[in-house]
Amino acid sequence: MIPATIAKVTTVQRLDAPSSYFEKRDNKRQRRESDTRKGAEDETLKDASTLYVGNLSFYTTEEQIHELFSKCGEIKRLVMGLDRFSKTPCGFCFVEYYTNADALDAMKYIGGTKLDERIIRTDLDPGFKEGRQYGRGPTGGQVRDYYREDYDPGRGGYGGREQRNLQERR
Amino acid sequence: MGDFYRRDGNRRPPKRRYRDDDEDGDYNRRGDRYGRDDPLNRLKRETIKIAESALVKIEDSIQQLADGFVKNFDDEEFRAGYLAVLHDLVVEQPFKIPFVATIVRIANVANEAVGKATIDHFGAELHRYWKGGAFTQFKLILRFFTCLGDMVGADGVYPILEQLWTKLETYNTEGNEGLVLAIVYMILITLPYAAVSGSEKFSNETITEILGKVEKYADVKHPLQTLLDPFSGNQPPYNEPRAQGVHMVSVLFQNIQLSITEEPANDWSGTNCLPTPWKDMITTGTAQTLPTLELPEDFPLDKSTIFPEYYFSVFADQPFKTVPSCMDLSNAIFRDAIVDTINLLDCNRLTVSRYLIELDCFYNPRSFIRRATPYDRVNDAAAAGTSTWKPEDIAVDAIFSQLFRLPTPQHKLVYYHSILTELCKLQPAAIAPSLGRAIRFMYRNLEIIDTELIYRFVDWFSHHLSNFGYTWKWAEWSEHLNFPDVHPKKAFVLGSLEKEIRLSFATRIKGTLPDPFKELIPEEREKEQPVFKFDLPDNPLADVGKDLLTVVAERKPEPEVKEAFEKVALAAQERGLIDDSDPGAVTRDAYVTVICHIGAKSLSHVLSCIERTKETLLALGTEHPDARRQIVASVLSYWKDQPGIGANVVDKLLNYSIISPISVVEYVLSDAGPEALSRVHAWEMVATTINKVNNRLKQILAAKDSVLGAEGVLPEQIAVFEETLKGAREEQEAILKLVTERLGKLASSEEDEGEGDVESRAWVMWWAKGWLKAFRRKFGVKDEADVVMENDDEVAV
Repeated sequence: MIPATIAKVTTVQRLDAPSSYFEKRDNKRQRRESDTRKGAEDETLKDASTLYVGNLSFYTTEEQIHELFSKCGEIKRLVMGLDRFSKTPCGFCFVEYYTNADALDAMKYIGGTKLDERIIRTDLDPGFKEGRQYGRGPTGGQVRDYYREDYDPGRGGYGGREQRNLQERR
Repeated sequence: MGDFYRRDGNRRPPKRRYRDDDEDGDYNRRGDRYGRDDPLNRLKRETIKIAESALVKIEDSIQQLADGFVKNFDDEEFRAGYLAVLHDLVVEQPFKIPFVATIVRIANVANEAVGKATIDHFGAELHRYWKGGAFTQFKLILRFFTCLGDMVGADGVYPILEQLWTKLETYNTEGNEGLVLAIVYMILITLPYAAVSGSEKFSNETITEILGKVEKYADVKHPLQTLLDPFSGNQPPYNEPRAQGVHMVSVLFQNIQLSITEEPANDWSGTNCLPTPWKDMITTGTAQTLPTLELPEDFPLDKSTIFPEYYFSVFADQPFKTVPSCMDLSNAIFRDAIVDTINLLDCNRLTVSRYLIELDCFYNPRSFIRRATPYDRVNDAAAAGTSTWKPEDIAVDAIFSQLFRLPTPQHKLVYYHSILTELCKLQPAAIAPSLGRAIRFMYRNLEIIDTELIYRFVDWFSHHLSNFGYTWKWAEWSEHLNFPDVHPKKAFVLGSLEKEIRLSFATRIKGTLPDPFKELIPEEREKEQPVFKFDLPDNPLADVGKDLLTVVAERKPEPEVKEAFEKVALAAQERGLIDDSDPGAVTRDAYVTVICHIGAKSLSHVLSCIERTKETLLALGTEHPDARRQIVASVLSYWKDQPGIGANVVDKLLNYSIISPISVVEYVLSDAGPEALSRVHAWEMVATTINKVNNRLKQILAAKDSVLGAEGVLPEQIAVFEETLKGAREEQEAILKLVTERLGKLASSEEDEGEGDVESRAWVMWWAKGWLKAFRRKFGVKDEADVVMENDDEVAV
């Protein structure tokens, strides 16, 4: 009912702002290529209708993700993050909506709530590209699962590095 | 994960620096990270936090801010920046309006130029909002002016209100009922604030006069009146029977009337909850003049989308009043401000939740019992003669009023889920018991709640439990386990478990249930994949079915698939399974079953499988008039133990136009059996499909001007557009006709299928009536009761 231009909230922080992930990446590139691309990623994220979803359990299925995220709008595509070597889920996914508004709503209303009893993280994403579904960590999963020191049964027990250490000690 | 909690900037400033924050005018972040903390940033920050802490004396902070405002006023940059933050605070955080107004009143005492600049700034904004049809913002600025009391002249906001009610007559035409009610509401909700503002104009006489002016509009009925009532049935859910099915305009009208007529006369006890910080401060400044409004004849918005708010409460049947009753003006005051806060700040549910927990900071603290007082201790307060209102109950009640708002709330339902989740995380001891009582209220009244709301309740309840380890005291509902499955209470339990399983998995949910409830989850649910019926030895088509699976799964070339197809047909023929009226039915079913089974692994699997076989599927759908509806049936039959997944697959097939919207509706209403009406997936299938059809028509209509008005538009393009529009209209009409006829039949005893016991059949009729009401509303078709009501009116005239 209220024109969007009027209702722009300024006295509280927004939960649908993208994280600094792409900003950082962009800054690095800037330093390397020394060309000013400031705001280029910003433009891509402006109409982004895809979300990166993190901290999933390895056992969470597409159907569960669909069930939760479709509360914010119809889902166009869902891409599960896979271990580069074993091709099994490794705890993240991309959820693509039909509209930017639905993706922002999911940031606001679903990010930071629980799915499969884990608090999940959402971030705006410029869009899925082939190859991005694979973990980039040394053991094939996500990088953070390599360095993590705790025991997380939903994400394969100890982190990749710890597991290696354990094997070496044996 | 911590990120999320860091983003609630008001309390815990984020560690990370977010780019563009400054451009976005995000005032929360400390501007002094690099040693820069000018007065503007400091005052902005302090102003935004106003009244949030009960530890700071409010008069002190107001005085301090007013001093800062006056001191820096001559700096142009400061002036513009600070006026902007005052404005933003008023239209974004309604709780703080009385405090912001007091800052301005005090500043005006010291320097009248400050007051004048503020009024001018807000006046321009008021105008802009009105012209744009942004009524919420208009109402809030009007409230700000009202709280300025006599600073805006002896007449206060009276002239603006007068302009509004004078204009009502022009707006009061057919189809504008929502608009008229919205304007009357704005006038009425301003009055309690005016009554405490210290403005002498708003005496008993003036209020009586205003009530007289708007009286005839306060009872305007919305054309969809009875369809918007959250309850139906003869047994009112509340202690106060007058509270059922009335909109807040009429409630507010009565509240105010009572405030001035009831003994002791004119005590306005309903406004005692309002904060009046100006009363303890010197506010005798120069009076300023308010702007006069120019009222446009029309607004740039679709007036058919303005629906009045209906009275709704989940706590209005308790012996102890933990929330003000419907007949108490405080109820409307709280509800109005809380609902606005929730709906305005949907971008940060964490901040909203914190404000709701701190509700008592923004009102007269004596209006409430201490936070988190257990329900059984409310009695003590009642005995001691102090307030029994629980701040958390008032907040929870307001959230539910939106979650269960008809036809729809302002934001997606999941937003309201998320606030309840956050509240529960912030203050489990205070909120969880409140929610418990709310859930029990809804459960108790399942037999009279609107059908759509039953499904919303199921959706929220299961989602909420999924955030809190699925713990619920199911045992208290054990006595209802032997009800028939179609009984609304049993259907609610079954539906909630179904939705819980979809968010989790069957074994996990079984583990959270007491023994008798475990039986509600069949063993088949725990299997990873459904049974492929051609794997069953007694299936007459087992061999040919399995062969078909092999050729499709192994992506064999087209001729081989065809061959397998023909073998199925032949085998069916030999076994006498072919119905001559539709010889393709058996092969169609086999093929769709095969597709489902190949795609059973995950949604992506089924999607890619549909993608590569879509030509065949499209062809199958046109073989026979009933083919599409049979495809839907085959999918649901394969997924009979996990109908949620089946419904998803059907939705994807719909997107590929392999099936049509009407075939989905036909299947659910005619082929799935009458008891399907009590099941979540059936509702979801029909509701999603109909929403798609309605949205499509809306989108086409919205594009009308840009297509037909475009420069150099060719006649052929116009013809194509007209054709599309006609098609969409016809599709909608056909579905509406089907829904009304079929449900009408199920709702009356005409269609007695003879299945099940008498009680179950009665409940099926009950569901059909409920569905009919809900879908009439979705299509914007008046209820018969409303039509009758209107005729009565005519007779009366």
